Amino acid sequence: MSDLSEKNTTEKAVQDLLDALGSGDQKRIHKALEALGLEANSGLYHRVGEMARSLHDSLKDFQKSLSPGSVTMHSTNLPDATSKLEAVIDMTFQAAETVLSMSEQEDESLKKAERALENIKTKMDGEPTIPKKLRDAFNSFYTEEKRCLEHCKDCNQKILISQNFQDLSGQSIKKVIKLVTELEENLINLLKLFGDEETQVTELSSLTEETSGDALGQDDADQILKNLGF
Amino acid sequence: MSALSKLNKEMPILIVDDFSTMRRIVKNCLKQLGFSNLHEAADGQLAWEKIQEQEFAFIVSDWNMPNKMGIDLLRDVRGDARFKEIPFLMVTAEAQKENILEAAKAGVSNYIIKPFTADLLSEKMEAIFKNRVQ
Repeated sequence: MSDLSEKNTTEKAVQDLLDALGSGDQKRIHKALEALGLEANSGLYHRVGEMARSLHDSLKDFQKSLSPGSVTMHSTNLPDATSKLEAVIDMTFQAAETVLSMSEQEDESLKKAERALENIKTKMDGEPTIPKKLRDAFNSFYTEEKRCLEHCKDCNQKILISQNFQDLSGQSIKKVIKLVTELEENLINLLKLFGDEETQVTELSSLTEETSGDALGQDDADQILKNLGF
Repeated sequence: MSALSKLNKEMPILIVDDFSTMRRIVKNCLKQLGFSNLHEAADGQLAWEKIQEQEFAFIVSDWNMPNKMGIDLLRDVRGDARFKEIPFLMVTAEAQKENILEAAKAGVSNYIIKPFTADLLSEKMEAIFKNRVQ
């Protein structure tokens, strides 16, 4: 067979496979795959299977590595790494909200202190009988306190603004969740297309539904480390 | 005298972001700059509805939002004779050149990439309003 006719045959076989995939007809899909030399027991099938298993194991390892000391995580049975990531988004959101609330309260207190300081200054300036030594001491105090309050307000503002990291980290984590979920689903779908043994598909699909059990608390982690000699 | 100091601190400002923490942060920044008439919308669609109900002198919007994206809100605003002059500041994590060019083409007044600082917000507002208050 010439190179050109081989190319045409392959292109036709690929087109047949695409048509079969579009129809959703399993028999047609298998026939098209066979025409391309891609059978269920081919090396490609096994390679994809290995990739799916490797990805799944990585996800499980990742899940285990996430914050075992967190009270929230320990008290909730989170089913998979995706849920863990969603919990991370939720926890950082709550933390950012708390920081914002505290920062807003702090800002109010600083403004209140500033108003009180200005009131005393006005009263002192309006009282001519106050001895010069005392007035000078107060003016020094006023200047220093004013500087301190401005510094605190500036720091407080920076704390508040820095919480916008949460939006960025949340968006990044959501993208990772989407990517990982799609990747695992696509690998499973590929296996479904190649595999003609229903049990193979069932077994691999069930991998995505496994849970790794409860997360450890700090005490559990300490005990394990102790047992390991740390 | 800066353009910001000349602005009416009671002017109505609309903050658009689907993330409540971000709205709160922008709101606090604007409060620090002296502005007090601050309104919020959780996505582009809600913002568009508010814009049609009430007059705004300035819009600060995120890009990535459900229902209506910030860029689509910008296009709607610029495409309507009643609102096309409203200064529109995009505050977004979309840092690709294409996004910035797309926003510029749609008529954005200025563009801030997250994470940002209060100083940067103030600087961009100064740039936006410099020519408007003279």
